[in-house]
Amino acid sequence: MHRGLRAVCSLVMAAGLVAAVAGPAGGNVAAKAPPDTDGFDGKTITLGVITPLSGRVSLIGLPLTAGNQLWWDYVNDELGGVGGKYKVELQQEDSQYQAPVAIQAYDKLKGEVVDFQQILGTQITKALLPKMQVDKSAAVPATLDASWVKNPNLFPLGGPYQIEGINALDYYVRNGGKGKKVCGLAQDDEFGQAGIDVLDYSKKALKLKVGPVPRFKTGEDLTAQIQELSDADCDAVLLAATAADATAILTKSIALNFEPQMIALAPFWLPTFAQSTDLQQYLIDHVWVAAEQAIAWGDTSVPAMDTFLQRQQQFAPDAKPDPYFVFGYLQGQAMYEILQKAVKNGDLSHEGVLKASNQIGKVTFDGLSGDYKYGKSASNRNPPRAATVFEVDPTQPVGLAILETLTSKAAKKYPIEG
Amino acid sequence: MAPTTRMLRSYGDDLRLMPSRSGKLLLVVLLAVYLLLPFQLDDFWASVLTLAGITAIGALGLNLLTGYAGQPSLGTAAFIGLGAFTASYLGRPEDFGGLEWAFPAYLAVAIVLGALVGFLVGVPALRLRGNYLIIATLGLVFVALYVFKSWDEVTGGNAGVPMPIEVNLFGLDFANLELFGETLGRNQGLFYLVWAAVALVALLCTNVVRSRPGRALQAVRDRDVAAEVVGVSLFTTKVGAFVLSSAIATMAGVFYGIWIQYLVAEEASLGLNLSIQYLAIIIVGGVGTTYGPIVGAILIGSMPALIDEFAGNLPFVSSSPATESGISKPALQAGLYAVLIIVFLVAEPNGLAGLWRRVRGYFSGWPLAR
Amino acid sequence: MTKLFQLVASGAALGAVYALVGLGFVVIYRATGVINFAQAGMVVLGAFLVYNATATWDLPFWLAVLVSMGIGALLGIVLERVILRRMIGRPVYAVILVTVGLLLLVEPVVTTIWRNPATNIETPWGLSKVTIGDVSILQVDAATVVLAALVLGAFFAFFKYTKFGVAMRATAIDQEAALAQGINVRRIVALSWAIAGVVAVLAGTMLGAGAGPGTGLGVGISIIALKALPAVVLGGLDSPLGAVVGGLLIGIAEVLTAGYQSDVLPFLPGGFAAVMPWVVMLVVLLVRPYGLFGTKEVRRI
Repeated sequence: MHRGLRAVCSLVMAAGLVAAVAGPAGGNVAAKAPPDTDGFDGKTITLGVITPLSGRVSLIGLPLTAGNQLWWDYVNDELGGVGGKYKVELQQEDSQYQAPVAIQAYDKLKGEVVDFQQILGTQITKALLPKMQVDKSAAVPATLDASWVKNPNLFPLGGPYQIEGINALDYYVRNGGKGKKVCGLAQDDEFGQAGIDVLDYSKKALKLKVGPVPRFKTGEDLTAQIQELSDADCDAVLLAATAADATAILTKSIALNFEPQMIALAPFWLPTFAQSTDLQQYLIDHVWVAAEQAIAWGDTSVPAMDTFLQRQQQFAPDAKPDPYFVFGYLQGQAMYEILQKAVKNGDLSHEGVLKASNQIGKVTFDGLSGDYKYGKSASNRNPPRAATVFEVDPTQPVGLAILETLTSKAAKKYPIEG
Repeated sequence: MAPTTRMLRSYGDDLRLMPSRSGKLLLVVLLAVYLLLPFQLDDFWASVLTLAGITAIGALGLNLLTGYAGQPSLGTAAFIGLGAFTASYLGRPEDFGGLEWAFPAYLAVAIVLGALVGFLVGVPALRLRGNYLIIATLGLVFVALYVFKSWDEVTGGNAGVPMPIEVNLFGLDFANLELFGETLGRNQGLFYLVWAAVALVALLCTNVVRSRPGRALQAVRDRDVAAEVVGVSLFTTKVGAFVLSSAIATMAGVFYGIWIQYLVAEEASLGLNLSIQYLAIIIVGGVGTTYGPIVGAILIGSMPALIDEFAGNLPFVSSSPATESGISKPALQAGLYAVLIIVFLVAEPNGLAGLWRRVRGYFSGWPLAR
Repeated sequence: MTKLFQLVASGAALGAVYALVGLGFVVIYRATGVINFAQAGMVVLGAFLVYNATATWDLPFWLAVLVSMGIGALLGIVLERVILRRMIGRPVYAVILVTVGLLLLVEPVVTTIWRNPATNIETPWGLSKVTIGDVSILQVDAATVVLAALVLGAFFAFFKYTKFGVAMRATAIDQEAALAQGINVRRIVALSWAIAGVVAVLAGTMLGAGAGPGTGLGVGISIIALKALPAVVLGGLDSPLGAVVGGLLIGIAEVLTAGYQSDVLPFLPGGFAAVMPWVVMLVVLLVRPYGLFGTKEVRRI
């Protein structure tokens, strides 16, 4: 990146950070007021949210959206809005986690929003991308697929699932897993493919002994797959499965006396699992969760967490501890950085926001999530290469306690396509 | 003064489509609405009404099979999927692995394919009646889903596939229509194409019904053994009904694919719920009429959108989904849909069409009550 | 060999779940000729009722189940009286669609009343196992098998030895003739729905406790319950014995297929095990629609 531009960016970022952290009347004064455009009427900026607000995946969509809302409540109330002037409103649409409903929601919102604060669902995001390319709109995706990293119409944050998995396996190898047999259990879709990618790469990068990786369709009876893993004497199993099948996987493993080290990718986990008296012991003894770099909820020794909790107490006191709630808040923060830039450029149109996204340099979350390098074009982006490995601890707010946050060499070298 | 009731003086009179003055007036009004509406619609309502039209096509097909021929079927979703994936594989751009055929070509192939599969389903279905036929067609949906999910090359498996982007017919790209100097959005353009198709299919169905095959259908529905005795070939009639309704449903599937722009084969989009929706539409709309399924499709299609707009005003409905009390809007939508089905089935067996007939009858006999 | 035994044992556990749900389908079909799709919804509701009784009302498990069984019976009677009775004489697809409508109503109702349910119903068995040699299944699974056998036995005794049971059999054969014999057909039909409600609660309890696929408490239970349809078709829509035998056969076949598919049927794409029950159902419908133990339908012209 150009030296001079970099300096300007850093200055802008620093100013933005100071404003965000230090408090009132923050934000830069725009060079000139941006003209009215989709989602902006000169006073308020409207952002769209397309996420499942009903159905089983609403367990993720609802806290994410609440997190989004918390961020903007804070910005509107204490900073006066983007640029100190423009308050932000969220227009939520329920996608029911179905592509056609999401497409209808997109069509409904696209003329009324500057861009999208949140779109949840790998399939849904893929379905909307062609339309977003035509409309030049952009979104912060709520799923962590590596293929989002270099897409110009997406503003990703958080390390991709593949990075989580590789780091977790590195941790495993250094903590009793050397020379042991690692297998996998992967959902039969793109998300499961991420798990398979991890194992394929780690076979060479971490010199792992890799066993069978049966696949399953969500909702299927899993006896055969667990039996296959058990018969293969797997010492560890990488789980590329979501919370929808988590109970079944755990119950079946218990039933079949299968007790490997389970290493689950983040979407597996829900805080309620730790409260289940039946599953608790097995979870504590055998399950780790690999997530993108995070801080334990309530760990006020980290200033960013302390600030976050204060804002949560003030604007969303009824919110329950939930990793998705934090992630939603951070999504808001990422969008805020980009909008600040766009307002400073005086252009909140779709093209203007896209341009701004290539000017913000690095987005930093002060440790609440890994820093994300945005670069001067989408193909220059580099996601954070760190991950946090958790063990299950029912006494903790989200049921998880940090084992280690790490950036392994293997994860750093993982090639991200673009 | 022209007679206000239909006076039949010949067989020809009975067959006329638009027998009365008011019928002709209605036609003109509908034509005007058809031509002008897309210019007034925003993207969202254009999308909703276009989908309603697509659903109406499928419903008209199902109406022939279930309403007139009396063969209840929960298999519509399988044919919608067949049409959509055929359109995708044959019509999508080569960059996405398709063959980039023109719209009329893949539409024709889809219809033929649908008819063929309909034949293959219809023949064994001859042995089944009522309850058994319903669950057999239900099984068909699950088998179809398995086939779709496994056939990666055509359907993209679990990742799904994009759909044709352009829709060219008679030299016009309906997905990108320019009329009177204005460029219409995708959904507005598709509105014209879809509702023209609805009109054609409705015409087809009406003609089938009021001619010999139609009477055969109804004879089979009412008393199939007696019909056979009288000389109606059960084979031709039942299988024919399957073939025709499957072809129509597959056609609806092609439009559905074009409308949705990206499709993944899974229970949520092509499973039991979709088939149920079609059955519900013809029953709520009114089995055994042509306009019934169309009205039903519009009503059930717009219902989620209407609830979205207006339900927030009800006291017990929470507009923000994260609250702990009150009913969430999505739950209200789902609940209302179910209640609507139940209420119509219990209270008004002839659906909206029946309701309309009663209202019309009441007024035409006014002030002589009942 | 162990693999085979384990798969059969797990399959039997899954099958027992199908059997329990299937018994509910059978009881109503026998009395009324209706395939009650709402049965799947009643199973979900039953699970949540028991959950509510144990978690919110804090009742001991057995009392919770008993109370919920009562509520389930009541619910069945109310549904029949208020809705199904008005559908007499209507075409069969209309009646089935009404039951589907009721099924569709269950999810919004359940998710509205119980917003953050636990993962499992708490039972005295927990997730402890029963192990014989190298084969193990959960105690809840074993309990489900026992329960299915018990309920079947209860049905058998009921239909053979009690007045109501005999009356139900008569109604199933010919409603008009039964009426002519002085049987109060309306009460019999109501009783069938009550029994179906009770059986639904039992099936829901076991599913919610983690039996079968192990998904525990959730609205996904209705999808599992619907998969009992192939089982009852195989067994015979009006045969309780058929429901149990059919359920066990389908459950075992499903798990065996999943376990051996890659060896025996490699040319079939993955995931065949999940669709296999439906394929079996289609074959049965074409070859022998009344199933293994069902009564052959005789049509009067």
